[in-house]
Amino acid sequence: MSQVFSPFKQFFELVAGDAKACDRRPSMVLYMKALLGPSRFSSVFLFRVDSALHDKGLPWSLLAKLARRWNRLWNNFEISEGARIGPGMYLPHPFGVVIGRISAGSNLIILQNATFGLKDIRFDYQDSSHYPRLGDNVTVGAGAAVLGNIAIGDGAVIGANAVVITDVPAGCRAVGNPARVIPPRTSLLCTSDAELAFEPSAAIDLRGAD
Amino acid sequence: MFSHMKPFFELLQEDAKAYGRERLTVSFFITSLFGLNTFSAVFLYRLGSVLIHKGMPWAALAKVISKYNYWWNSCEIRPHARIGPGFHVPHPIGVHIGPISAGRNLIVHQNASLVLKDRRLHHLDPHAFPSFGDNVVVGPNAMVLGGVVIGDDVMIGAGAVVHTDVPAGCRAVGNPARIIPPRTPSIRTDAEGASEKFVAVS
Repeated sequence: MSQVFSPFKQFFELVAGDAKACDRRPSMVLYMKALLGPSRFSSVFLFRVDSALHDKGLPWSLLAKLARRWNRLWNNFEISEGARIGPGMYLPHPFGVVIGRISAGSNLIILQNATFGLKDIRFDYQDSSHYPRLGDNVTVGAGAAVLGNIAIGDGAVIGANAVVITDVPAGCRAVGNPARVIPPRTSLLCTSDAELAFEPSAAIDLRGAD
Repeated sequence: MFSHMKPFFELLQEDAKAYGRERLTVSFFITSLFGLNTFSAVFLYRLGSVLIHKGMPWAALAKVISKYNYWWNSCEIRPHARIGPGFHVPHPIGVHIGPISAGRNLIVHQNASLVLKDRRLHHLDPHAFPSFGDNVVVGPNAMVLGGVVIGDDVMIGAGAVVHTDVPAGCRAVGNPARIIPPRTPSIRTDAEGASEKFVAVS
């Protein structure tokens, strides 16, 4: 019996993590509201429904497809059903975000218009080996593009409008077009304006701002 | 009876092929009309671009279709744009295309803008908008501004801001865009080695 319910348990644990990441109390009412209306939690919830049901056979796969289209029409958020993303995913403004078959850890924060995709249009878009791999606690700024088979380490921060096509080590920041990698700050002394431009603690404060 | 619509259907067939759909069916058109697939953006643009030059009642309908496209797919493709067959918009979110002219197989990714350089220029002046050759790919978040000429087989990188002409076969990347000439097989650096293999295959 427990085997039958284990996928449900997994799904609800994942979704509860997402609800907490956007300051909502996980409840059935919240999930029903997420299915019906456009909201920041709705975008993540519809993706979770899609990724849980797309390989479960005919009635369910149709429902998954519906969730994906719903997400595109209402939240303007496109995400592949093959993306594997850990709990605590948070999109403050899901408009214009396009995500391919990436794999990511927990507590991923993505701002508006960010893209995770292929480096070259001629690559096979269904092959997940052409997409970026992200660690835990990654924050991606507005309008950033993370392209190709690259690894983004734990706690990395991608600046607004950065175009990242190289690996970013853990704790580093990547800013600019093409992105340059800024190593983690060792002291409290800030030496340049570029270091002040995107501060990790400021990014985490965004959750509180409504 | 429908012979005068044959070129229109041939155009749509090329677009559907670029989208990854070999055969046109009625259900495919219906799902496109209601914005349920991403071919919808191109389909609604094609409808508008046929009607905009047909005189008054039809031109008004073309504008309504354009607004409908804006509402359903969050993309703004002006019906005055002249774009060749094989036009593909993989993710129509945030795409803004003015009255440009473009060749075959144009691919435009999400949040790209192909628009005026200066707001004071006329919004229907074709010389104020970029013109594209064949097989051009515009990356996500890229901007192509003003009456520039983009040659054949050009790839415009993600987040690039292009306001100069780009010769055929080149790539334009960065902000402001710098132009990278086409690769020759004899010269090869380590950084470019990864995608070099792919170019050789195709």
